[in-house]
Amino acid sequence: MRESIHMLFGFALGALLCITFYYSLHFNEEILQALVVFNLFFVLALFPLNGSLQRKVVAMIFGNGTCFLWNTIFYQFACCAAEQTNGTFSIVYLILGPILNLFWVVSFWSLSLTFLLNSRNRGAAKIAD
Amino acid sequence: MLIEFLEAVFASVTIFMAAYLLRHYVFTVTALKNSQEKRQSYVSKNLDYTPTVSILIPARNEEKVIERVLRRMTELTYQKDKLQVIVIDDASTDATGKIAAQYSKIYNYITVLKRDKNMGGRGKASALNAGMKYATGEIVLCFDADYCPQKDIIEKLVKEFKNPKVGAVQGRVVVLNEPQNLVTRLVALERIGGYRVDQEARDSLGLITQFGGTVGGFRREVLESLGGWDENILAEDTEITFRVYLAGYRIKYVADAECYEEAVESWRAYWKQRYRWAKGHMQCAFKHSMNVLKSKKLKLIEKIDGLLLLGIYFMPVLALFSWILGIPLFVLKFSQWIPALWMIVAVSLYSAVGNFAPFYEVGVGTYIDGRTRVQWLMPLLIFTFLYNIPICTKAFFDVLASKLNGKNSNHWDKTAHSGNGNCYITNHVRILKR
Repeated sequence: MRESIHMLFGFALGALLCITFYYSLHFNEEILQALVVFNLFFVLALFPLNGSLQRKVVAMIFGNGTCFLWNTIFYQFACCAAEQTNGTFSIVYLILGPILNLFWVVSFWSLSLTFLLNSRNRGAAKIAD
Repeated sequence: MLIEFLEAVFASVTIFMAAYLLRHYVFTVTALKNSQEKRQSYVSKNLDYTPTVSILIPARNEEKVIERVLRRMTELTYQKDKLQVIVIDDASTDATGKIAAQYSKIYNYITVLKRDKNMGGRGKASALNAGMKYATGEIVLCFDADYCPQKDIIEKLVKEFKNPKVGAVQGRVVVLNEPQNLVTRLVALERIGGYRVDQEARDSLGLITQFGGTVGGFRREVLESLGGWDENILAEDTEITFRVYLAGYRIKYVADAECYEEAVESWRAYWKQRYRWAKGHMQCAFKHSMNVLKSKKLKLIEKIDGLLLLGIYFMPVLALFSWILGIPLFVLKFSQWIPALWMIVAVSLYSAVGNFAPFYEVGVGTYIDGRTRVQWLMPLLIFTFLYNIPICTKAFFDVLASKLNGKNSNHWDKTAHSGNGNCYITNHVRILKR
């Protein structure tokens, strides 16, 4: 029950972060798609876990920031490279984009797991004391 | 027209992969829910049920590890008068037989079955069938020579046989030499996903729990009625799993019955082992897919899960196929929905092969186990998956070729064990001087 409430909160927070980022920073739709996918995955894979909501929220906000930065830089790089290569690089960007994106998402998620697990272990240690 | 057809094929393949990703998400949530609701009981129940047990240990050139498992057999807490340990020395050319014989002299419940060059070396299934002839216990358990079980593992495993519907049991495999190098750490990640989440979820959802070939066993009468292990299939464990289910029995997974294995230590050994598993699993898929579909003893959900289980080792081949198909589609014709489907291909690349456990399943497994450091290696799962693509593709074409020319060319490439896992066992006391 507690985890279901966490998930609902996570979905609401994810939607709020996407809308806030999109309207305040006016970036393109591709970065927005990446943010939506990240938030969807993050809520489904991190929020059902046993752990404090505060830590989950902190991890999610950091993740959104990383997602925005990574995709902005990668998109700018892809635009420059595509111009230099007469559009060929845009195909490479489309093919490798999701795989490279997942590389940091999986890394970030595994670090978030550790962040959450440490709080769980600390909680268990307190109870033992 | 051709492009539309290719797009449809690409869509079908990726949707198939998405079905696996969804299946494993359900497994992940189930295992997580189980871990939150109940803590595993480490106290053996039903101690009044103590059937006679025969343990089969097939061993071929295992001199570096055989002593470890035999020593553990002497330390088991199960009543020794109800225990029979049979070491099947499968035409070893090293000191395996000699070491086992030394134990056999001291402990009367340990016997050694020596197979000569003519009879031995035909694979694990053949060795197990030979050992089975001498087994007298009501329950027959199997352990590999490189394994080190918990001292009370027999009590934990046999208690499940009190239920007459249970035909076989399976315990949990944990990697012993995990800290050794990157390969052993990645294998440990695969094992966590496979046993901590996958097997546990399948068991609690009432799906097909897989017998892993070791750390488990059968009710003797069931094993005899099935005619023992199939010697023509390289994955004899998966094959017998399906025969148990098709005969109307269940396999029970016992999560707290842990056994420690020595994982492969090099990429070369990893290739050999996974090639054997992939080929054997594919042979099972060809043998049992139709039987599963036609079975009247399996529920619809079990049939679906059984077919997905049989198809696991085809996934790296399908991933390669989706690349071959998807990249030209990106270049030739760019439909709006191709990037969305491509995302599924990308996610599936971060999976552990063996059970096609996506990274979230592995990650949640490490979380439930309370493991932190090993979690950081999860992004590297992509490299093991990429490594598995040529392994499974080769296995696929070899199985296909053997089906076409009608020749069954099974070569059992045995995994060599170095005994390096010994240093990770505490209280390492040698009771026999060689």
